[in-house]
Amino acid sequence: MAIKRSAESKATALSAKWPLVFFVLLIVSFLVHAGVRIWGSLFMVEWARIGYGALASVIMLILTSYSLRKIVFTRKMGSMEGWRKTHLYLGLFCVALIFMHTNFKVYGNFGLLMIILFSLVILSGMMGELMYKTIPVWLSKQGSDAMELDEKLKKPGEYLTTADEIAEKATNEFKVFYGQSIRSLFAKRIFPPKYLFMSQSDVIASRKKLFNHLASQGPPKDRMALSSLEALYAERDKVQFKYARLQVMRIWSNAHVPATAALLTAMLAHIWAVSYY
Amino acid sequence: MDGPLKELFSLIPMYERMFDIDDSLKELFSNIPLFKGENQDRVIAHLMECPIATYAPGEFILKNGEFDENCCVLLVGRANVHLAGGVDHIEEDKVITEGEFFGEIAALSGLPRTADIKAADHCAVMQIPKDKMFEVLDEFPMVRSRIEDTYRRRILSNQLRKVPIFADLADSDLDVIKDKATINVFRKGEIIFKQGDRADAFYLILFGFVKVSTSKGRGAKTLAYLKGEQHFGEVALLKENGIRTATVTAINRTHLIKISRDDFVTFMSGRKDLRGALAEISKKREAIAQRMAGDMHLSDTLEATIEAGIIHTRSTHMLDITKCVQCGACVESCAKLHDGVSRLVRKGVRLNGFLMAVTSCRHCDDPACMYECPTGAIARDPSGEIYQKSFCIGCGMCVKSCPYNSLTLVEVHPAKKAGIFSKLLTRITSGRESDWVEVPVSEANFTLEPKGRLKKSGKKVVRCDMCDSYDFLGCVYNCPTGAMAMVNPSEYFSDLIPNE
Repeated sequence: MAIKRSAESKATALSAKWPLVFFVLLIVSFLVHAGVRIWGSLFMVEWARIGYGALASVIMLILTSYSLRKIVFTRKMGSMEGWRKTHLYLGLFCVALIFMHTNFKVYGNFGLLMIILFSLVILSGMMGELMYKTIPVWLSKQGSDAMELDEKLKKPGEYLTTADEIAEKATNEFKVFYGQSIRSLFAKRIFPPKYLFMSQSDVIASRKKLFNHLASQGPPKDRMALSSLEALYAERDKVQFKYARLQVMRIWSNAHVPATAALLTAMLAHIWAVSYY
Repeated sequence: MDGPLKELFSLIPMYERMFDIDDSLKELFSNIPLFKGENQDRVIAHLMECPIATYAPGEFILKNGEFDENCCVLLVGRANVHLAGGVDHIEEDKVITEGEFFGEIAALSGLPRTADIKAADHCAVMQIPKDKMFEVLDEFPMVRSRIEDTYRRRILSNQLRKVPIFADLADSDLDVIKDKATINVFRKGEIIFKQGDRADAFYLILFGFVKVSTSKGRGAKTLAYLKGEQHFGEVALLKENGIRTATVTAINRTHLIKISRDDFVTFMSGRKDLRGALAEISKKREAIAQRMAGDMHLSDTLEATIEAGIIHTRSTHMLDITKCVQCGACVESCAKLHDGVSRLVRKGVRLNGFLMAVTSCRHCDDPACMYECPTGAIARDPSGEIYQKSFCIGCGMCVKSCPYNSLTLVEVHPAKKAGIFSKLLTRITSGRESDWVEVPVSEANFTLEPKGRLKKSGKKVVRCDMCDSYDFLGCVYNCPTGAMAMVNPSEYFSDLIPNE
C-alpha cells in the first residue's frame, strides 16, 4: 500500500543515504590523495592541491546560492527539494576536497581557524539534516505535528481558562485551595526551553511529585477535580516537551548561515593571502 | 468573403438561411425533431441567442471526460460518436445527423462528457447552455420527455458496456437490461440500502462514489469504496436468504442504474457464465472485506479519506507531516505567486497519522460552490478545474457552501497604472510583466482601472488555481523536503479501492 510504504521508508533517520556517501567519499578522497602523493611528481602534487582548493572554493560559492533559491519562489529554477539535495551532497564532496587540499593535516593557526569554521558549517548542516529527518517523524509518532503545536502555543491562556472551568465545578473548599496553590501553575508563562533538558520520564516524575504533594494538602473530597487538573497539566507538559524539540530544529537551521558567512570570509582572506604571498 | 471560410460555408448550404429572417428560423426549428409540435415562436424566442459553432471534418465537437454543460443540436452536417476507448471504432448507429441533439447527459447530470463526438462533415452546432435548457424543459413538456427518454436510453447504452461484467454481452441481452433498468440519483450521504434489509435490487454506479460499511454493535466499519462502472448489491441477491450484508451510502451525488430483484433473477437465470463471473467478484469482495475488517489501519485510513471528502475529488494537496519541517516555503511561495494572498492554509485533515490533506480547493466533481454562486462567477474548465471569474462580487456564498472550508474571502484593493520602477520590480521579483499595481483605496485613481478590475475596494474569494499562470505548482515546487504533493486521490489511494 502506497501510504504504508511511505511511512516505512521514513521509519528511521539512519535510512538516509548521505552518511554512507560521506563515508565513501572520505575513503575515496584519501586513496586518491595518497595515490597522487605516492605516484605523482612534486609538481603534480602541488598543482593538484591548488586544484582541490580552487574547486572547493567554487563549490562553496555554489552552495551559498541555495540561500538565494530559498527567497526566489516565483521563477522556475529547479525544484527546491533538488536544490537541497544538491546542497547536501555537494557540501559532503566539498569536505573531501578540503581534506585533500590540506593533505589531511592542519597548517598553522589560520588553518586551524578555517578547519574549525568548516567543521562548524558541516556539523551544523549534518545536524540540521538529521533533525529534519528525525523530529517531524518523532512528532508524528507522538500523534502531533508542528502546526498543531504552534496553534496551542498561540493560545496559552486556554489552559488557564480550562483549569478555571474545572475548579468552578468543584466544591467551595477546593476552589479556595485551587486559587491558593494550583491556579498559579497554569498562569505561569509557557516556557518550553526547560523541557529540552528533561526526558519524558523526568517530566512525568516531576508532575507526579507535584500533584501528589497537592493531593496530600488539598480537600479529600475533590480528588476528581484534582485528577482532571493533573490531566490538563500533563497535556500542557506534553505540548511544551514537543515544542522544545521542534524549536531546536527551527533555530538550528539558522545556526548554519552565520557559520557559513564566517567561513566564506575566512576563505576569501585565505585566497587573498595565498595570492599576495 | 473569400478563402477557407467561404469554402466552409459553401459546404453548409443552410448557413445563410439560418441567419436570414424569422421564416428561415422557423423552418430550421420545425425541422428539428426535438422541437416538433411545440410553438415555434416561443422556441425561437428561447433559443435565439444560443451560440452556433462550426466545425471542420474530423474536429472534436465534444471530448470524453471534459466538463462542459451545453446541450447541443446538430443543425448542419453529420457527426460520429466514439464511446470511451473506441475512437477508431465507428458504428453505423452511432452517427448523429442533422436535427438530432446530443450532450444532454452532461447537461442533465452536471458530470463530464461520456463520449467523444467528432464532426464527420462540416458541421454547425447550436449550443444550448444548461440554464437555457432547463428553461426550455420547464416550458415545453414534449421536449422534456424527448430529452429525458433519450438521456435514459443513451446513458444506459453508453455506460452499460463500460461495466466489465456486461462488456461481452450480446446487444439483445443488453437491450433486456436497458428495458428493465431505472436511473436513480442519490444525494451526498443518502443511504442506498442498509445492512439487514431485504435485497430488492442490483445496482451499477454510473457516476459518483459509494461507501460500503458494516456495523457491529455501536461502531461502523468502512469496508470499501466503489466508483463509476462498479456494481454492488449482487451478494445478497445471489444468496438464498437475500439479506443485505452491508450498508451502502452515497459519498457524493451518485447516479445509479437499478435493476429490481425479480428482473435481475430472471435475467441471470439463463446465464451461467455471468452468474459465475458475479460469484467470482463476490468472493473477491468478501476477501477484501475480511482484509479490511482485520486491518484497522487500512479501514481507518479509508474512513478518514471518505469522511474528509478527499477520495472523490479530482486533486488535493497532500502533506507528508513526517517530512514537513515547517519552513513555511509552501505558504510563502503561494502568497508570492498570487498577489500576496496565500490560497493554501497549512492545516487540514490528518489521515493515518502521517499524511495531511491540506485545506485548499479540491476541484470537486460535484462542486457545491459553483452551484451556490448567485452570479455564476465560479466556473469549471474542460479539465474539471474550478476557477473564479473576474466578476465575483465577494458575497461569500461559496465560502459558506464549501464543505471543506477551502475558500477564503480576502480584501482586494483597486489598482493604478504601474510606473517604470514598479514594473521593473515586478519583473525582477516575479518574472511577470504587469502594467498595474494594487494600491490602497485612498491612493487609487479609479479612472485608470482596466476593464474587469474592481472599481473599488472590496472582498473577493480566492481559491487554489493550481498556479495556472505558471508552469509549476508553487507550493510543491518550493517545498525543500518534498513533503508537499498534489495528488489525484483515487490514484494515490488506489490500494484502498477493491481490485476486482
